[in-house]
Parts: sequence; C-alpha cells; structure tokens
Amino acid sequence: MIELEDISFGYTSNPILRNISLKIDNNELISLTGPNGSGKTTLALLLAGILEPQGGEVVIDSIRSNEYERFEEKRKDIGIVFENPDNQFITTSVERELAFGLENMGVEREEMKRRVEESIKRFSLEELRFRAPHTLSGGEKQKVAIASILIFNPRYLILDEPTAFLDPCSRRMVLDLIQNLKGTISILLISHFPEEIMLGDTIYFLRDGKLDKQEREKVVLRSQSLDFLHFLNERGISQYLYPPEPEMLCDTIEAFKKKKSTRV
Amino acid sequence: MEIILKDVCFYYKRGNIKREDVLKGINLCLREGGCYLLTGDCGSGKTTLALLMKGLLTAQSGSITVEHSSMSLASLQKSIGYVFQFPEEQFFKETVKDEVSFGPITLGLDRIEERVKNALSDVGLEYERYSQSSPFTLSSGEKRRLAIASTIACEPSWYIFDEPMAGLDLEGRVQMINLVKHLIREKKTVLVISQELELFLEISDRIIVLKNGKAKLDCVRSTFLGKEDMDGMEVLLPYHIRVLRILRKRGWDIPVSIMDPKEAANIIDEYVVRTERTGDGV
Repeated sequence: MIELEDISFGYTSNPILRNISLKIDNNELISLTGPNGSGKTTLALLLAGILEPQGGEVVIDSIRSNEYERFEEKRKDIGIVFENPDNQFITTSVERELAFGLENMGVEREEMKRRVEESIKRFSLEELRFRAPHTLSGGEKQKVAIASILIFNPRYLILDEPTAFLDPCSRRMVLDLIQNLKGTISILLISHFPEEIMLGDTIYFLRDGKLDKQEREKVVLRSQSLDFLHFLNERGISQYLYPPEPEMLCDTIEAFKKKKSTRV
Repeated sequence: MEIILKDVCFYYKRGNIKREDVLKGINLCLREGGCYLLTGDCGSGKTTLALLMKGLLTAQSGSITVEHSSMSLASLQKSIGYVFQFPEEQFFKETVKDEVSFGPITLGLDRIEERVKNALSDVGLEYERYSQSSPFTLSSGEKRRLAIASTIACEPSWYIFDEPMAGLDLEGRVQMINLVKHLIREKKTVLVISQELELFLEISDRIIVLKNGKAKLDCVRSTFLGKEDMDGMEVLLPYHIRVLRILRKRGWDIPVSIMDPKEAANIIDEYVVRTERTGDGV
C-alpha cells in the first residue's frame, strides 16, 4: 500500500497542495483528474518520491519518507510514465531502451536478457525491437515507455496523462494495455479523458489544493460517448459504465432488440 | 483569398540521406473564413503540412501559392498565428506577461497591456495570478493555454492550432471550442489539427483527412458524415456515429449523420420499438 499522509507542497510560498491524504491499495486503479494547474503532476511526483513534501509524509509499504535510506530503496517499487514519452527515451533501439534501466541498476547480464525477452513478448514488441524509439508512432512509443518501466517489476505504476498526445487508435492501444494491467499492479492514472477516468476503481478530483474522492458509480463526467452510453443505459438498452469497442456495444444493442422482438 | 497547394511533396532528411516521404502529392485549396479540420492518424503528415503552410518547412516539389489577394505568400505565412503541438517549444520569455506581449510588440501593435489581459482571459488564465509566473513553471495544460494566448494577442487573420486540446482539462476544452467559434464569427480562418473529431466536427466547415501522406478525404461536414466507405478511417468518427454506422451495416434502416448523442440513442430506441411492434427483430 502507498499513502500520502496530510501532504502539503508549494513551489512558491503559496501551497499548491494542502493537507492531502491519499491511499492506493494493492492492485487498485485510482483515477485522478482536475483542472489544469491543480497539482496532479505534483501529487504524482510526491507519490513517486521525486519531490519531497513540505508537510506530511509519504508511506510506501509501511516505510515512511523520513526513514531516508529505506525509503530511497522502497521508492524503486514505483514506476512513473509521463505524458510525452519522448522525454524519457535515451537509447537508439527499443531493445536497448528496455535494457537501459536494468543495466544501470546493475542487473546481471543473463537476467537482463531474460527480462528484456519476457517484456518484448508480453507487450508484443517483436517487430519493434530494433526500431529507434523516436521513429515509433505515439501509441507504440507509450507502449515502450510503459514496458521499460514495468521491466523493473514495480509494485506501483503512475501514468501521467499517458494518452494526451495520442490519436484514437494509439489511445485505444494504451487503454487496452491499462485495462490488461488493471488488477495486477497498483495504478494511479492521471487523465482529462472521461472514458479513461471511468477505468478507475476509485476516482479523485483535485481542485484548489484539495482532493475529493467519489465512488465510480456516482461520478458524473461529460463526453459525447459517455452521454450516449448514459442515454442507452437509461432506456435499458445497455449497462456499460465506460464505452466498450463499438462492435461490442452493437452486439449488446442487437441482443436487446432480439429479446424485445421475440417477446412480442 | 485562397491558399493553393499543388502536388506538394515533402520528406525529412537525416544528413543528406532522404528518409521516407511524409507528404506524397497534396492538392488543397483553402479559402478565407471558417474552420478547417485537418485530421488523420499519427504520422500521416498533418503537422508537416501545417509547417509547410506556415513557411517553416519548404516542399521539395509542388507549389504553395496565394490567389485572389495582393498579399504575397511570404507575408501571409508570416502573419499566420501558429500554436505548436508542444507549447514549451515556443516559449522563451521569463514571464507569462512578456511571453504574450512579445508578438504584439514585435508586430508594432498598440494597446499591449489590454491585448495581454484579453488574450489571457480568453484562455482562462487570470492575469493577476499568472502574469509574473515563468512560462516554464506552468503545468502542461496551462502552457497550452499560454501558447494560444500568445497567438491570439497578435490578432492574425489565419490561425493554425496543432492538437489544441492535448493536455487541456474539460473546462479548457469548452473554452477552446468557444474561442474557435468566436474567431469564426470574427471572420478569421482557423485550421485545427486534431484527432478529437467528437469535439471539433460540429464547428468545422470542411474536413481534410490525411492518410499515408495523401489527402484521402477533403469535403464538407455533411458529406464526411454521410460517407459510406471511410476506408479504415471510421475510428476518427465520434463514438455514437461509429455505433450507428455499424448498426446500419448490419441492416438497420437508420440515419448515421447524427451529431447529438441523445438523438442517436433515441434513433436506436425508436428502431427497437418499431421492430418490436412488427416482430421484425429475429
């Protein structure tokens, strides 16, 4: 479990986060949204131990941020992926990108090779392994960025607007990846897209330095696709909380139609 | 005034070595006024095309010309307001106020303070709170708002917004749509590069879809929405329209060019009720 306990932080004398408490349970997916400049990324950096809080403490698996050496070691259990993957690529091929962090951490060569192969297989990167990361499409880049973090086997993953710059195909690719990861690792997903926010087991809104928790079922988020689902749900045609693949929704609609007409 | 692109081809080079063609013969005519939506997958050449129009890149073959105007291409290109996809690429001043002032001062415009305040207000950045902040300490969404403010402060006639919604919160998205609507009312020409058709389709007069370096589609909105064969580009359409199109392909006799999601849900509901009465659903 990872916790922020009564955290306060500001870049100037004016705090951007005030007395924030947040808990992410094992294998839970938490969505975080809020206006631009409300401190979402700052909160993520505090959780990852990249920033130090000015008040309160971060606790990772019962180890507190004031236990400096132990906390520093524990911090390695947290992986963070930023909105623009270009900012985190430094090598000349996908394969090297995956190996880079492991090599720097002094992982044995054979173990490193094993983990790279495993990661390539897990994320279906076979065809991309020798490509330069900067030549990949947006979705592929984000997939490599996530893979290069998960290769450390972190227990916590922070995804900071991972689809902000992606086209719909690439966004779907990353969303599918997140859905597959859901339940296998603790995730904090920061996003402005209602469809992504709805993936969270719990949803938090950050505004004016304060964090508000809302149960997933009670959250009202607006987007055309969620509105559309809401109207279909109201009529009893479907019961989805977030948009499935259109083909799947059409299957549901057709099944509903069939049920209705056979009842006549 | 019209900007005419004829057989425009472009490729990037690494050193002197040619890399893959990005644009492979683009033909377009952009008339003054209204909103153009330029869309397509990542890597389809949208940003490259916009950079060519702005004059920041030069095509290896083909031509870009201005017609029905006394303005030269170079003058027009210079006056196009361009908001880059990654806003931090265009900042270099120490404060938000200086960043927004820079364009109007350089262009010799008047009422600088008023322009800065209005531009920041249009994008939802409070002058009192932000004017003395460094652009580089802002969040990604705030940076995008600042980039847009820096452009609108110059009051150009033509605008290019490259993925203006990326990183914007829900409120910022509504403000962006309202801003484009306002610019259109002011008789400006706006080219929006976006993959979020759900948001921009309603205010776009013409839609240009790039695929593999070619203008695969170039048509008015109604034609775009009614097009039967999208050749793999359905994914760009708003979700409810994609659902309507799939149902139609499966034999449902329903319209597909529906912009309002509630109306789309109503159409599905009514069709179910209709077939329920006739027992035509099996």
